[in-house]
Amino acid sequence: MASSIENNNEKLTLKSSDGEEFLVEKHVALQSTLLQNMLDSDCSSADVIPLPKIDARTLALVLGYCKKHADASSSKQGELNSFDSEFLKDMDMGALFNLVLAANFMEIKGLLDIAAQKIADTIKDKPHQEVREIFHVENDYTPEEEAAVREENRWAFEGFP
Amino acid sequence: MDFPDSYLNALKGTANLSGRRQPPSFPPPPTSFPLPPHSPDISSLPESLVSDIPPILLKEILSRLPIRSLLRFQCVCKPWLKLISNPQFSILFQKGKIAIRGGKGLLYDLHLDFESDKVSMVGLHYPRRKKEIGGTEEVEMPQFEILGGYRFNGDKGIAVAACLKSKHWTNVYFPYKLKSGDSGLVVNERLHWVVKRDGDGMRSSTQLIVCFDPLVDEFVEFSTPLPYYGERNVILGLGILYGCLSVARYYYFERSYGPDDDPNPNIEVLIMKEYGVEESWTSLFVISHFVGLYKFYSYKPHIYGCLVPLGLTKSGKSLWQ
Repeated sequence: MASSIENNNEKLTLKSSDGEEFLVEKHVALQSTLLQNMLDSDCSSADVIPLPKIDARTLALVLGYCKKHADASSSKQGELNSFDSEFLKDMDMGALFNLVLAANFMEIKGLLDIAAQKIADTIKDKPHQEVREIFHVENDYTPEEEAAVREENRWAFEGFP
Repeated sequence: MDFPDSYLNALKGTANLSGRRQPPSFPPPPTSFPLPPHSPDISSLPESLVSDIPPILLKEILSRLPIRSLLRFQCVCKPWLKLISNPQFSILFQKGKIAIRGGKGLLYDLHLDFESDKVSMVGLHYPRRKKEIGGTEEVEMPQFEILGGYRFNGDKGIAVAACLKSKHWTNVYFPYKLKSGDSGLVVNERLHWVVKRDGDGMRSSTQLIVCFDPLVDEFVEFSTPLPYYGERNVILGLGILYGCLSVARYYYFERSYGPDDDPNPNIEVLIMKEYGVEESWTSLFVISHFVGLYKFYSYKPHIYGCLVPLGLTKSGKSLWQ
């Protein structure tokens, strides 16, 4: 594609759901398969790409991740790994869910992987009642039904309420 | 500007999903809604967003959980139960399999893709209930979360260790000869096989019991129970009796011409009373003149033989496979 060669430092404008605009260097945007596809189909850099599902706070985080991964050379895997764990370290559940949704929408596989893994690691030792609250899931079991499912897997509940 | 279809579809996809998933009984709370003080994690969560987690992303998260958590989270709600117990969730398998045992009364199948030579996923089998078989209780499997398996790959064996905690699979070279591609017996959170050394010839009768510890990816060798009075023995199978590693062995005396000519084969069952202590092999009982086996295995029990102690009845009778 001619335009990508000519304009190596070309920038894209992304617009978050709450109206904030972000200027993104093209090589950073390429971390996202979605944006890559858009660039491949000759979207002009003057256009603003709306991301109606992603708020500004999340988009800033996503772009931070993309920049780090775009700038690091492939030989620095160890450095990237420690960046990834530091990146997610103190993130609350809400931010993690937002990241998973954004990574899924923008098709950033690496980010989806680490964010989903982080959520899994956070909930794995929690009682199911608490997981219900975290995911805002309504309990549609009758007490008897729940007890039956529980009985079926009794060993897994040892040490849990 | 023209947006490519992939972008439009992505937009459409999430919009549809969230529209369908919006539970009517859950209106978004007012922004000033007082949040429960005891759950700081949850208070930071915008409600509308969490109920927007599409099923595909829920799968993405749940598939990274250890089995134990998954089994518990079936109690979260019916849709989760449906998702977790759906075989499609846990399995990509059609090509090959190894049986993997684990968990308290759980049996897993480890499924292999022979074309890509990769271990793909874990089949999840639900706990088997204890059954009364002719007055005998079915032997319960020990409880653990580390699983493993074995398969042949051409001439070489590969032990496959699976840590279900991390969903991490490793291939480990299996440095022994195994008479059949069995998946190993689980005792004390380790897998056990009766093997011969890799360098030994086919006719060699030196048998070992090896134990694979999936925590450290290492094999440990146990010697088989020592023969009495210089007779030779052949380990026919491993089992679990009284919670201990047990073996069924065939033995015969040196003065005869070997197993092919022995008119009086004996079968003895022993247990390793103290796990890992070779001196603690203890004889439970002997069946002498075991002619049935002698005939069944074409007079070559040392090559084809396989006899697995399964369990004992309350009165001390044994159950075989």
